[in-house]
This record gives sequence, C-alpha cells and structure tokens, in this order.
Amino acid sequence: MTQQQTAGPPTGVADLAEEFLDRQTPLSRIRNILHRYPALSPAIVLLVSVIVFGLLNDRFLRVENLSLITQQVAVVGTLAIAQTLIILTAGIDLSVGAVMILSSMVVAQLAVNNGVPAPLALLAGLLVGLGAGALNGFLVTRFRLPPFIVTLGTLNIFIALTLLYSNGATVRGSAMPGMLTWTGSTFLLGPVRISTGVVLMLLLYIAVAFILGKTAWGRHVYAVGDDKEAARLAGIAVNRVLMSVYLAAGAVLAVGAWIQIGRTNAASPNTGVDLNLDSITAVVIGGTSLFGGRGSIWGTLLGALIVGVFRNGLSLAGLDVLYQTLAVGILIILAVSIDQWIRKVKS
Amino acid sequence: MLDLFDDKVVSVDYNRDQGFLTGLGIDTADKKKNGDEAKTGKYTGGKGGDYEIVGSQATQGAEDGGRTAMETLLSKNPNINVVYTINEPAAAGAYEALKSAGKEKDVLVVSIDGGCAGVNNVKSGVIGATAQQYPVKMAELGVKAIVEIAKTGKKPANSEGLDFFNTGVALVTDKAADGVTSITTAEASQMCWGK
Repeated sequence: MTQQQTAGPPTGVADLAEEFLDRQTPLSRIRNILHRYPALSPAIVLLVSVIVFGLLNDRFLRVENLSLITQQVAVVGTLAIAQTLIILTAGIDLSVGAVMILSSMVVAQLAVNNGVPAPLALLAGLLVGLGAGALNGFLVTRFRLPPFIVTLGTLNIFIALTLLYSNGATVRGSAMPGMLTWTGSTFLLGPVRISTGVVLMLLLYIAVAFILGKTAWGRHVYAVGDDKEAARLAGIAVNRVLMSVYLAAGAVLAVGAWIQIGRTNAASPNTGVDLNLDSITAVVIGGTSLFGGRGSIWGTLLGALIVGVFRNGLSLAGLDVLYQTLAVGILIILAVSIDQWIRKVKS
Repeated sequence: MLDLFDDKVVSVDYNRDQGFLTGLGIDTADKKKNGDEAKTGKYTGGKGGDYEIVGSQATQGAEDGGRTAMETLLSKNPNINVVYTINEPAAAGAYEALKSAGKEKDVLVVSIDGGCAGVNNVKSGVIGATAQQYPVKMAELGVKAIVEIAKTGKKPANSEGLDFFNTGVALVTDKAADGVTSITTAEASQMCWGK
C-alpha cells in the first residue's frame, strides 16, 4: 500500500470505516484473534469435544482412555507433520501412508530375514523415506507436475513396490530385534501411561515447530506456499525449498514407520490403508490452508487429536461405526468453512 | 465384535459377524446389518447364559485397526471376555491391545480365515480358535463347476440344507472344547494357505 492510497479519499475513508465497523462487532474481533492464532480454533474444538464426550460417557475422561487416544493418533499424527510441510507449500501428498508402509517393510524384512543389525535397518528405512521424498520432489520441481498428480502416481508405485518386496507377508514383532518395537513400549509418568512412539511424535512436532517458526528455511516454506512468483522475485530458490520440503517429509515418514512397527508389533503391508487421506484430514481440521502459506504445525497435532477424540468418543457413546465416518466428514466441512470465514479478515 | 469396514458394507463383513452370533445362539435381527442385534440378552449356544455385547468396531482387517478397535472397546468395558475378529491380522492387533492392558490371558480371541500366519498365531496363543477356509479347494471346485457348465450346461447344486455350495471349513484350536469338532494347529498348518 502506498501512502497516497491510505491517506487519500475515497479508499482511505472506506478503509477507516471498515476498520471502525470491525472494532464494533464482537464477531469480527473474534475473527481477528482466530486469524492471528491459526491453532486457536482447533484448540477450542478439541476442548469442547473433550468436555462433551466426557459428559456423554464417564469412562471417556479416564486417564487410561485419554492416554489410549494419544497412542491411537501417534502414527497419523506423525504422517500429518510431513503432510503439513507439503500443504504449506500449496502442495499435497497422497502417498504418505504408502511411503511409511514401504519403509516399515524394508526395516522389518532387512532386520528379520536378512539379519541386518537394527540401527542399520532403521537407517535403510530412513533412506527409503528420503528416496521416496526425492522422487516426489524431483517430479514436482523438474517436470513441473502438480503434486496431486505426482503423488497419485507414486502412491500406486509405492503400494506396488511394498507388495512386490514383501510378497504380501507380515513380519511379526516377536521375530524383530527389540530396538524396532521399542517405539511401542510404554512408561508411567505419574498416573499416565505414555508410549515411546507418542514421545517421538511430540519431539518431531517441537523440532518442526522450531524450524518453521525460527529459521530462514521455515520462512521460505511459508513464502513459497503463499506466492511462488513473489518468493522467486524475493530471491528464494523456490525449487530448492520445494525439494528440501519433500525430503524432510520423507524423513518424517520414516520415523512414522518406526512408530507404526512399535504400535502394531508387526510390519504388515495391510496396515494404514486410510492413512494417506487421514493425514490430510488432520491437517485440514488443524486449520492449515490447502492453498498454502497459512497454518500452524500445532494446529495439525490438534487436528489429529480431534479426529482421535471423535472416533473414540463416538464409540464410547455407542454410535455405529458408519456414523463415526459421517461425523469426521462433517468435521472436515466445518473446519474448512471456518477457515474460509477467518481468511476473509483484512490484514 | 471387531468387524471389517467403516466406509463400505460388504457381504463378507456381515456374513462373518452374524454367523458368529448365530453360532452362539444370538438373534441377529437384520441378517445383513452388523450391530443391530440386542446388546444384552440370553444366548442358547453351548450351555447357554446371559450375554452382553460391548460394541462393534471397524478394523479395516488389519493389525493397526484391530488394535485401535480393541483399545476403544476395552475403554468402554474392561470386562470383555470374548472377542470376535473379522480376520487374523485384526486378531493379532486386538491381542496387542489386550497385552498392553494386561488382559491377554483372560480373553478369548476368535477369528476366521486359517491362513498360515493365522494358524501360527493360534499355536502361539494369540488367537484362541480360528475357522479355517480352503481357497485352493474353492478355486479347484469353481473351475471344475465352470467346465461342467461349459460341457453339459449343468449348474452345481447347493449343498444339502444350505443356500450355497459348501467348500468346507474347520475350526482350528489346540484347546478343543467338548461337543465342538475341531482340528489342531499341527493338522491345520498342513493345509493352510499363504505359506
């Protein structure tokens, strides 16, 4: 905005009037606050749903049950970190679940069938994640294909590779070295039972929140997602940022694979069928915009928890499973509508 | 009741679920709908008695879904003693949830399929009993029936007293119950699929 525009009539008057009106209605004040803190609206939804489900069934608020919910969202919560990074760049990744499962099968098979030591097997899993990220990133940046199409293609590729590699067979946790299933172990913190996988997920959230908020790279991710051309003109190497985002996402997915092995005490090509879309659900309910450039990683964690709380709470309230799916659908529509409403705010 | 899907309704899902309940002597109401049976009442199978169904959850037929479903039902009612599972991966997931809650010794998990991995899980005590099916035999008989139709036009007849052709099923367990025909895991692993 130039000074002339803000000072001179008629725009200046209109702006002032609107600002004046904005201050008048409590609704728009709420909207301004929600706009400034994108994680606030999912936080409110989570709080309200926890209270409501607690009233519906007194077993819901038991510490054991709340601890179970965190364990149930550990894998999707981790995948949603990768998904958030990519959606922040105005992309989308339909292959996150497939990459995670491929990585988990490689880790488990190398350790159990090929006798590779556990740390090296996990390293190989990390390489699988990075390789998958590199493939997605390469296709997005070099061939300029839309991420939706790229990852729709690689989704099928990774599923096929998983089945070809594993022959469809499950590797049982009892055959694995303890390090692989370590993420499924639990410890007591006061009265709360916490699984190592959940701790690992939270550490990832803290790390990514720090990187996104406090580093130049984090700023670049938001800038590229907000407006690619403007970012390029500002001197940001857009393709390099995009590539690094897909690589980072791949690394996160490899950690997700480790958490998944611990949780199911197995590596199975049948698991995680819904995780590709569930991770997007968590990101969207968490308030991150599918158009890129706006959102918060903590919102994603809240989004994953909201879905977990809804599924658990509705089950405890005795609702049929088909209605749980219905509820999640309504939740998504509501979340996006609220996001649209908030985005109308004048910045 | 650990069922299959929460995003589609398929016959294998309700046929197995309702078949299990029918075997226990529980009225299933609509035979093509899971979870619409009375939640409490009397069952007539075996010695009979009172039953309470804690709930039905979807597992997607996989380990992770099985575990989440079992955890949720245990939250609802920690005194569950019998768990029906749609297939053996879901059963393995349910077992992890039971183990984590320290209840794996007190709860009987039953399943369907009889794949080699599943039979191994019966052997190691993860699953109490599983109903073994024979897909190779199904395929063999299916092709034979097609050849028969092509040659003579004669369609296969339903098995006596059934509205389908029975290709056979056997209950696999190492803890045989009185009055229930079953085979051991050693016998079952001779004819299991997916070796």
